[in-house]
Amino acid sequence: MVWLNIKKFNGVNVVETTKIEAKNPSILIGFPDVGLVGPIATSHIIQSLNMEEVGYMESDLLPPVIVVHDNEPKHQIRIFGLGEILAVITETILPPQAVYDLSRTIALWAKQLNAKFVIGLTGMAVPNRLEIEKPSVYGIGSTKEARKILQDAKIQPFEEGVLVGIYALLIRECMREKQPNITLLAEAHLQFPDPGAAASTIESLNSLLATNIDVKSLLEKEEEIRIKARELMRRTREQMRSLQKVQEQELRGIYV
Amino acid sequence: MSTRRRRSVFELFEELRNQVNRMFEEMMGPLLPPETPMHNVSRRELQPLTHLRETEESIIITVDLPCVRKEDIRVEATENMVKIEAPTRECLRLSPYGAIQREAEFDVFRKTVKLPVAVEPQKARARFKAGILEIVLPKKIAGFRIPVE
Repeated sequence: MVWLNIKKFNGVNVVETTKIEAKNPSILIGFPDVGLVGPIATSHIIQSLNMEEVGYMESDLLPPVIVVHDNEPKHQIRIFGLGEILAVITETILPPQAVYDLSRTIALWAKQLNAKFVIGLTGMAVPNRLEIEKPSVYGIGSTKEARKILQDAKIQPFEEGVLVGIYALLIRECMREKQPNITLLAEAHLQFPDPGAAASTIESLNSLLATNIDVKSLLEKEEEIRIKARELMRRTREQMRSLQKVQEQELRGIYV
Repeated sequence: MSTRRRRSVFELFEELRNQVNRMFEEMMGPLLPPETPMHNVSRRELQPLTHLRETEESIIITVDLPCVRKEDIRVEATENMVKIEAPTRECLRLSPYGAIQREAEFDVFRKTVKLPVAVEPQKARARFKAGILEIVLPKKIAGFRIPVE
């Protein structure tokens, strides 16, 4: 018998194809953004931990795209799970009109699952990335407890600045639903896929979740990933332009 | 006696077609919409990701060139255009993907970038680090100083 649990939220359905047994999962989010840090890191985590595909998200707001992998049609936004870790990943571009409902859905679904944290994995564009050998990772915690956990994991706080895009909306929706959120931002190339930044993010995640995910194989495949991710990066750049991502680069001095 | 092999009519036709394609791209490349695929299987070439930014004095182009050696990169610049050609260290064999449902091989990155303002190509400089090429092209007229009275 096929097990299927369809949870309907605002215009987005979360379809669990396997019963999610986790009591307080940490939900990793890997969506295309700066340096494609999210999808690169999340994909490596899924492969390294051999996570099982446990569901997907579907919505009429998503473009008419189906991903075929190993001759098998796949949904655009897939959910993987292993123990207390869940991962949500997409390798396609999310249209701006979909990101609102999607981030709201993730916050509501996480709340329903009694998730410990929603953890956004992304990049922070730095103009001097070429001079940086090993990118630093900064953390944003939506609650006092989340900030304490970041501090204990020795992840530098993201002190001041602006976030734009799906990860910003995720924080906002999680705050609205009182769902704790942590967002990890690695120094990254804005315009190019950055597996080095993804590796730094995974290392920070290791100290946050007490996992031991090796990044050596990721760094060895760095050039191959950069070649294969060119088209996705180009489309992500177009999306970031439409979301006015450039605001993140502006200096703001309102809060004194 | 010449050892050159006589080429078949098909090979000549393929070469002619490639020449026309290349001329078309040189003329139209910068104007093509972003929907253009970033590879050309018949020419075994990949289009690299590029980024262009403008400062007061210069145009700075960065190009993502993985699997490339510094000494193999060729950059040619005119006042209005920069051409980048970079053979890969080895033949890149990509497994079936998207419109290429068969294994495809690539051995060069090629890109022509149209510049938004005239530059001084003879004063340009370039560096290659961690697989990223950065070309700095000083603008032809960086700006006149206007005395304030």
